[in-house]
Amino acid sequence: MTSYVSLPMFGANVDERLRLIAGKCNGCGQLAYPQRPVCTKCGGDQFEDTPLSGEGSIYTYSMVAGNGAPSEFDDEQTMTGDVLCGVVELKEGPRVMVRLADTDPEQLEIGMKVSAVVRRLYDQEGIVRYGTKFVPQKS
Amino acid sequence: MVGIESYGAALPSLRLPASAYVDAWGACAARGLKQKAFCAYDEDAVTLGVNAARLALDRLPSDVEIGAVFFGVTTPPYEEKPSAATLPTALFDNAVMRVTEITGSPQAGVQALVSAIEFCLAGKGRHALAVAADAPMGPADASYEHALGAAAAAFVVGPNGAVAQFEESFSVTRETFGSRFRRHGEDSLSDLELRTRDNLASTQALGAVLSASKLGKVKHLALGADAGLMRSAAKSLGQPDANMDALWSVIGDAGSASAPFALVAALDAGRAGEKILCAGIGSGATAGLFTAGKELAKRRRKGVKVAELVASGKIVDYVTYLKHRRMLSSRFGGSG
Repeated sequence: MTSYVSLPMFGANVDERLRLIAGKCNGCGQLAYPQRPVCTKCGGDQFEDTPLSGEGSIYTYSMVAGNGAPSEFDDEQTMTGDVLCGVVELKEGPRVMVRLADTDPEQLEIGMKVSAVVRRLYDQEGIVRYGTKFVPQKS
Repeated sequence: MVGIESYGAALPSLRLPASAYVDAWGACAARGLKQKAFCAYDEDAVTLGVNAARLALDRLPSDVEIGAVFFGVTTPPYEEKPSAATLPTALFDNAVMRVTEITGSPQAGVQALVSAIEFCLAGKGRHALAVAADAPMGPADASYEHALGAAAAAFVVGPNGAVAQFEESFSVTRETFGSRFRRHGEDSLSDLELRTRDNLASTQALGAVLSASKLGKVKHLALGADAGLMRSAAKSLGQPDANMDALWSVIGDAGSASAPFALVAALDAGRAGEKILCAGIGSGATAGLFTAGKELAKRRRKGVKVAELVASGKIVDYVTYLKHRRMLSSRFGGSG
């Protein structure tokens, strides 16, 4: 199984992913992250770039055990074990599917405060794919 | 007066105690090492650099226009395709800036800082970002691998030097043979372990240059030196009473980030008016002399301190370390 993202597609929104830039609908003000061409609330198609804080809380989470992760994560899963994923509700509202890091499954809780960090997502076609993961906030 | 206006540091998320080498190999060859910080599977010099830079930028009292980024790193993921370009992508919405990657020596981090200062000195009102980050690799069966850790430091340099004013830079060069080298295309450091004490010779050469100048009494020496060099460095540099950091023993050898990380620790502890000498040592030396500024205490209130970074992190065992560093990976063959 793979979730292949071509390099042109990866490069097209790398700013948005590394700096967490949402699209704010000019029609109704709803934030979309990741950005979309059409607003899910009002159907508007004009957006303004709006940086997000990178802070949020865990809405839900899941553990991809065994060899269940897409092939680009094969080596990571062999080397480090289970892959933790989740949905984070950002402080500004959008919910986003993310990789979770610097934590163990037994430490995770719904509602746990998390922060965005830049990490290596995977290494494919000789290119390191950097992106955003979420880690528990330091108390 | 041009100097450092803000600073930040980062360590990776994992720690390996020196006792892990004793358990695995019978001894830890890095004498004096207590533990080291090392990169998890998804961390590298670039991600550490971004973290350190974000803290430095966050500590600024107001936004400034960064005109250049200087990235000092010996372990970028690419030999061609500047990793320095990833930093602005992750940090700024402005791409109108000079981006320079400095590599190939443990001096690279301090060279990046000095380059940022010289960029600002060359034009009125300029700001620059200097980032030093490193995660040196070595073969698992090499004794010098035991010390290799990781760290990052970042500095916003600008015209008012509110945190630390730049005074002067010093450089010496010295060709070395057999100690700490990496041929083109290789990921792991080599060291023929000839015991030629090259770093001591470089430190003494720097000390001779310093003694010829009139830099006065230095309060803090930020070297990131190993335990052996620490014993003689202050005397070699003509500053026997200076405070020396002991970071090497708790984070390991962070390559070109060692001295800049030690500078961050000195800024965490320093008081206005105190002089700080930061020197990156290896095949010669590059040093910068600073005087702590009046805004130092105020600007460091926000954000994490070096002591907190050192105390954080998850301690793991030796096999976990090897896996995270890809040293057991047939696909990546130990490469970062």
